[in-house]
Amino acid sequence: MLELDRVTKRFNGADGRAVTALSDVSLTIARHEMVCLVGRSGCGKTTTLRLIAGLERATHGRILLNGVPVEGPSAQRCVVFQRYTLFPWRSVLRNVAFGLEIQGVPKSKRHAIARHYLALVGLAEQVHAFPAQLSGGMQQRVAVARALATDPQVLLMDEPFGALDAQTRTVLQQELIRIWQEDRKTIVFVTHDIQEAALLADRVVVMQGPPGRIQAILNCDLPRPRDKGAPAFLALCDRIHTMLEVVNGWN
Amino acid sequence: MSRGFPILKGWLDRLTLPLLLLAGWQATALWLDKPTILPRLDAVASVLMQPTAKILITGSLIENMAVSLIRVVLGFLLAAGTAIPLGLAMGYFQRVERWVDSSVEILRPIPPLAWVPLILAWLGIRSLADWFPFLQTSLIGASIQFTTVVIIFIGAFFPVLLNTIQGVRRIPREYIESARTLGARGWALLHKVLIPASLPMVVTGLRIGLGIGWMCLVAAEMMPGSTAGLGYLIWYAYELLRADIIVAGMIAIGLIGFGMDKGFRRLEARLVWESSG
Ligand SMILES: Nc1ncnc2c1ncn2[C@@H]1O[C@H](COP(=O)(O)OP(=O)(O)OP(=O)(O)O)[C@@H](O)[C@H]1O
Ligand SMILES: [Mg+2]
Repeated sequence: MLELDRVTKRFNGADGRAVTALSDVSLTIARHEMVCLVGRSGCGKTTTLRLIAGLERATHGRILLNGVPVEGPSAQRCVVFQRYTLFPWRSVLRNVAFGLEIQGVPKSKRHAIARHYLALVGLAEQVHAFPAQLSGGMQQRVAVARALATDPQVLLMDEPFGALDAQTRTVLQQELIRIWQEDRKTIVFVTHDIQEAALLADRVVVMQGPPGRIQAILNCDLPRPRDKGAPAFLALCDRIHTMLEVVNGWN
Repeated sequence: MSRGFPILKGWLDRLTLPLLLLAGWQATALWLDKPTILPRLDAVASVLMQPTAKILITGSLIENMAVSLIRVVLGFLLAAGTAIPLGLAMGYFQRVERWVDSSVEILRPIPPLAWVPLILAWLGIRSLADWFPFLQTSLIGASIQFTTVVIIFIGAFFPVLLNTIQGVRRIPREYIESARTLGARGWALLHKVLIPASLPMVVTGLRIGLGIGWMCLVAAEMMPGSTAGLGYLIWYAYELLRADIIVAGMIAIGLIGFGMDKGFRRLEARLVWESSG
């Protein structure tokens, strides 16, 4: 279980004034749950993710994973960024094996595990390629495989498919659901895309800000795989949309 | 033929001017007939063609090259060995940067050769052989004065340092953060992420540093205390009015500098993963 307990995060802005990126945010995410964070730019989605990852320290409040406070980054909470995810000087195989290499897993074993996860994301053929030789979609698959390879409890994804074209995006969303159904990580997924949130999430957390707050939490209990044309799905998108509009005061 | 022709044409374009210049040189030298001012090309060539022959009372061309190369390599390695770690630390830790930066910025604009008098005053003409007596008998061992090595060190140090700092700063923070959330810390983060990610710029710094070190060397060898090396050789040849040896020495200096630069450029080209197709 992942808990954000009244978390506030302040940054020193460029002009010296303090920027409150998150204000008193509390959220509890169950094990194996897939949660999507949505909200307009600057509302603190990335900050939330980085705090959970341990890449930033909360100004106030605590973050607990299974009751243990998060003190810094760890292989328990792995991040997939939107860009610059892979190490360009390493082959695909060695990228995926990186976390295991850090843990001291012997070479043959870690390569076998890396191959397993690469097969899982459909890249069994590309093990010896370098990131620069792959398309953007393939690179993000490798990043997902690399994050899974160390078997973290929590997967933190910051608009991982945001830079991809619509078709590739749809394919990767489906793959992520398939992998998640097999592997059952806890996933916190940041997105701008309402459809993406509706397709993936068990719960959608709608944020507003700055200063970042949770505006609403919507349960999405539609069975998977979700049909993007089904009335219930469209109704769900509509609800998220309405929440965002309320938040942004467009009405 | 149709494929060979453009290549041939490329070579012709490249070679025409040099050949004309050489021909002009040789013609002028023959017409002038003053070998102390403008040596004939065949005289220069004959010095270059006998690299193992003793020149005047100094060693052979090869021996002088070896002395110069060893001095440069020593100074360069010393520079790389200190500038890279310092640069990594300055690039990564803002604290270290704040501590060291002003000193670097003050020392950096001082031309390496401006250090010569002070370093001579400190170190005199002591050489490696003063520390390792068994080197006393070899020309090479006795010729590696600390002064020249230190001058080269100073020349090579700053380009390596500045490029290393930039190399670390330009690492996208996603690389470092991905690595940290995959469990990398401390030493593993340094040698599995920071060093490989900054390597292309570090190698560029090494290439520039080696080039500057090489230029400093030749000037440093013209200073008192030096008794061997290519810089010394051409200075000595000047005193004996042997322009053929001067030109041959200059050509040797140019070729070695060119070769070192090319070697590093090859290495650099292999390290650019961004564009590797
Ligand atoms: N390192 C930082 N220093 C100063 N201010 C920051 C820093 N990181 C984030 N902020 C500020 O905190 C607020 C939240 O930023 P955050 O990146 O979390 O937003 P976001 O929801 O991820 O936005 P986007 O959708 O554009 O990615 C913004 O106002 C931003 O300017
Ligand atoms: Mg963001």
